[in-house]
Amino acid sequence: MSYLFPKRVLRAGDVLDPSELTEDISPAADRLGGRLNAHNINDSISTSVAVDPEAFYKYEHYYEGSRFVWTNSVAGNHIYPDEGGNTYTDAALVQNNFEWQAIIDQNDVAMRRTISTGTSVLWVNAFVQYLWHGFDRYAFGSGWFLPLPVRSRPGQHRNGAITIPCGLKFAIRVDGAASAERITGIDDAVYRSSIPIKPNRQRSDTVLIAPGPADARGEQICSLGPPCLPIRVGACVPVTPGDHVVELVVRRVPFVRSKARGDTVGGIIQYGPYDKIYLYSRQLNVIELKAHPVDSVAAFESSAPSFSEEELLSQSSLYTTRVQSVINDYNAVGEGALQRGALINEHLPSALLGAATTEREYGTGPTFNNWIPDLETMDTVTTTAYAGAPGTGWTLIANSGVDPIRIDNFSVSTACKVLVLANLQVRNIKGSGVANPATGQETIDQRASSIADFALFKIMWQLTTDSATTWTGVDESIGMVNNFVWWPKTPTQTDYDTGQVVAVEGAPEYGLEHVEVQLMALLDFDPPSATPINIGVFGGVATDGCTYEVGRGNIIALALRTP
Amino acid sequence: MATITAATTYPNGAALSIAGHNANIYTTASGQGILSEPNGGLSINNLDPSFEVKDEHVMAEEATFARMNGTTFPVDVYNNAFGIRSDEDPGYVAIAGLCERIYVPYTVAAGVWQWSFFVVPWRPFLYKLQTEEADIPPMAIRVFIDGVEQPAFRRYFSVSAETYVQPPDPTGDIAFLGVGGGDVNHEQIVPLWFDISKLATGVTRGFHELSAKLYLPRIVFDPNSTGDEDELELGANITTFAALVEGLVVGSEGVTSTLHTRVTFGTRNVRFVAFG
Repeated sequence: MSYLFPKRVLRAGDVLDPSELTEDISPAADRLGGRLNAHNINDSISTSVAVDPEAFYKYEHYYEGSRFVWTNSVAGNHIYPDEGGNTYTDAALVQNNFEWQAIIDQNDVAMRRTISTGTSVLWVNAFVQYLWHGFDRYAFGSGWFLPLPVRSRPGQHRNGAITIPCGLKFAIRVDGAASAERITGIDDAVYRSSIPIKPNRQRSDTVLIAPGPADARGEQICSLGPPCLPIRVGACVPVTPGDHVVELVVRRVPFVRSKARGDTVGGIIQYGPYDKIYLYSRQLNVIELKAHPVDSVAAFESSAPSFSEEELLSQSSLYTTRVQSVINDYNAVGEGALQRGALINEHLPSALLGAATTEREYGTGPTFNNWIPDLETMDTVTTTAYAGAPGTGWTLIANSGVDPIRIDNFSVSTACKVLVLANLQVRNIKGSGVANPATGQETIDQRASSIADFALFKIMWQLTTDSATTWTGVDESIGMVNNFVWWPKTPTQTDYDTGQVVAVEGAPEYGLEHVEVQLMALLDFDPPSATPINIGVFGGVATDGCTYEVGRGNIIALALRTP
Repeated sequence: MATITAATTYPNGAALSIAGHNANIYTTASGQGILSEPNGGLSINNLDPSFEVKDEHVMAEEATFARMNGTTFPVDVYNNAFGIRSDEDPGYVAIAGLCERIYVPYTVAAGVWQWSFFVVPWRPFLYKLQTEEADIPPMAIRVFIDGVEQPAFRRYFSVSAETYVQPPDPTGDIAFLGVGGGDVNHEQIVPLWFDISKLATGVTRGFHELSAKLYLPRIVFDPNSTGDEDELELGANITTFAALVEGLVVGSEGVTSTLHTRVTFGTRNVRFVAFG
């Protein structure tokens, strides 16, 4: 409470009035009864005061690691991540309906956390890796590699992923509401835009009602398109006191093809028997940023009873039971002596135990062709990022060995959980050159426009005393992207002038994805480690000959207090 | 600062110490006075050894706070909406829903900026069959914090279409195949979600802002980067634009058209999470 001053100063000759004596002492005692606040406490306590690990925030975390079913568990020859349409049991299947659905694991446990809060803001970060099965296309035999746009001849993907979007939307659902601001898409499920080509004139000499007024309408673009992506979703959600259920949910939007496309009359694309999307590695992190928490502290009381008329003044009555009692209480202020919201930022130590980041801009970007290990859950690391004979193992994302996307020397000497958020600008995944298992044939078309080229990424950490190749991976952080931009498919075309088929060198280089690889992990350092750690982002490819580039990236580490 | 000590203990049989009593109650001397010392003077020495800062001790938003702002309203941004601009124009156009201005009431040790957006670009792969040359128009999104570009967070967009570059020739071959070609527009394959985080340390008290801005120059076909090409014009089939008359378009011809780029945004927001 605000500053207190005595109502009188005792002077020689004053009559010792019991009321005045009481008012000398009792206000000091009253202040200890839950009324101390920012006015009373010196801000020097910030450097040494003990803090309940959940004083500033508390958190809940869910994670599930799930690996892919590769055709071969051999580095450099993994081929497809969905061999025979199979998955391990910890992958979650997305229902092909339009409803928001919980993400359920093999034990019927949903990707969900319940958190009991006061008036707070929930900072939610969720991560999921999805894969639209159907890359194991060799069942279709010859012609499998051609990027054909119709489902009856689906080309490189059983379900036509080369021309049909996977149609997923993810959302953070809080207490049953997946509000639009937390949905990865456009709320209008049939949203189309216009193709940006504009005629220079509005009159035609020969064609009636031309060139306008019709628009060149585009395709349905309300949901995620590529068949294979890591997705991270975040939100800050204000909540009222009570229990709150936070979950990542998903739904699948059917693709309504434009009537304008040449090979179809349009309409909804029907799902086929193999049309399954599975969710692999996934995490949900909910941090309650407390604003007005519920009461958690027992009351504190200091006693200085009133003086009564004709009460004998003695050391016992004046000092022992009153002044000394109050002094003792002020020398051992309990938690209940402070009022709600007594402390402001000057009184408080840092809410985090540590925070660090590394940001990199590589420009045109380094290229990588190292193979992930036999299993992506293995932590084999290679320092060979790009070579004619690719290295085997994950490699730290860096620019020819320098400027890695890595946080160095991060202290974990106090028990903590380290929230890691990483981003990579990945582009131009291409060129595995994997032969068709059905025919053994390989063509330039395949290398140029194969969508079954995969780049994988993973967050890993090591003690600073470990060697350059000794790292521990976080399996639930594994993200994978494929070569979904396949259509600059001009290795052979009919020459404009001669009518001859010519090879166009270099065109495959323009098969440019620019995809955001967004990863997260929560590292557990309870018990702590006296040795600091390094945290880095690693990558690799699934098959020999596949390459990708990284243009930019960054990594963040936040050391959260842990109970 | 030290613990509070008594100036007098009021011993029995002794005259009352007036100065001692007054000092026990209020004094300007440090370490004494049950009224004066708690007037801002309680230190770590005054706290019980078991004392811990609990959540209810912390004033709202004095240790952590978060802000989030954005929109779900879809928006299509065409490059010709920017008017006639040179490629070197340093001016970028802010994206509605991807900008946030916040007030930080005290210097915070760490603040996490996050920005997310659902985006669908229309970015063509331009290919001239006669010369076997190709080009891709530049499209970029840049992020500025307090007016300063963050170079590690510049992002580009995936190629989402394929267009043959032919000179406009109303009587000749058609370059832009239109949606009827089926192999031109692949925008439905490239909708992506970006969720990007940036850590700022030692964020000072005051206003701070993050703004994401688009760079969409006019399309020029300039595979050799000469910098002196004009805005690209194509010949397009007039049926691309013509309204149907009883389901048919009567006649066909090419029409000179300008090609543009487009970025469609869906859900998008900016967040700032502060840790004091």
